[in-house]
Amino acid sequence: MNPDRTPEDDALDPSLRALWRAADAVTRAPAGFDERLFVRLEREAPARVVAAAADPALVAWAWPALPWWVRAAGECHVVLALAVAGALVAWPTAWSLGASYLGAGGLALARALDQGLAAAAGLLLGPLAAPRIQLALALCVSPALGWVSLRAARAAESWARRGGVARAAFVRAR
Amino acid sequence: MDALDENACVARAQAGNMEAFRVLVDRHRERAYTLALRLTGVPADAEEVAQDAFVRAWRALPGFRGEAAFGTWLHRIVSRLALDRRERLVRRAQHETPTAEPPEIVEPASALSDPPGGDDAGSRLARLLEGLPERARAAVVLYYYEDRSVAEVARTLGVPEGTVKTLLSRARATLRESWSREEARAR
Repeated sequence: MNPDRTPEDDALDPSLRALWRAADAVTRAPAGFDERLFVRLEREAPARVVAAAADPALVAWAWPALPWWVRAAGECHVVLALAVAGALVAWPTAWSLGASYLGAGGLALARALDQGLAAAAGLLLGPLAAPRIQLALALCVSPALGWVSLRAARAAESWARRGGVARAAFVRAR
Repeated sequence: MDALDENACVARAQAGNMEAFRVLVDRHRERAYTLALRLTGVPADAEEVAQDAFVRAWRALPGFRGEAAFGTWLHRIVSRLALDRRERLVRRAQHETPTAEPPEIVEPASALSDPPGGDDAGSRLARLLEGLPERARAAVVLYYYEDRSVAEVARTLGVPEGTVKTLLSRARATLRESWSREEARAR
């Protein structure tokens, strides 16, 4: 709430809100609103209707219906954070260089982190050298590949719609 | 319709199902129209704005990520369109040559008052909003009617938060005065 409010404002608010509710109760969209709207929609967006009819399976993949962890993976900042973390782990010299600006203490901390990471990598990734484990990992990664394909398909669909390609295809199909 | 049903409808509409979108229109029509009417003040403009908002929502649905509820998202589109429309009309009126007939910009509140001096809630609200300048009315509608935060109102109007606070503060003073007059008239 606005901190600049006065007690008079607080006294006014309930009356105002009650008036608003009462006014809303009697306000109705004009007759024929839906008919006019859907005439426009059917004229303006045939490509979307056709796309849906062609691929009803898309319904199950619609964005809000996906679980949060799939949606989170699609967030730009999550992807960026993971990419930065990956780059830092892959190139320790980069963050050692950054740490050198902090002086001897920073360098010592960077060295300790580097050694810790190397030890952790050896411990965690050592057993993964076996081909069977690598195959299992590849299988685990395949849903992510499916998800990337879906995103790519969506991007292509959106691009086609913006560029009018889908509309043109629809007209040709008729 | 609960949130789960609404999400399912949104998902189907995203995939192009017009019947699912019809359900969403049915659910949000009155509120979208009322919001447009409060912002534009002219029933014909309000219908056009509400319809444009639904058309835009339909087009943009594939990109809708469900970060806000569908209703909230739709109301943002309505308020943006209504404010843009008012700005366009005002700009056009300012740029008209003096010899040309200026375009008629209906005073929003007077268009809402039916009949003049009527005592129903719509007329009372119209009389209250009548005393507010354009931006202040938009701020009041978004803040009170839409329950938006100051920050959200600022983003929608494209002004700093401090300006919104000032607009709201002045609007409250005007509203208090109008409210007292209304109360005196009722007595």
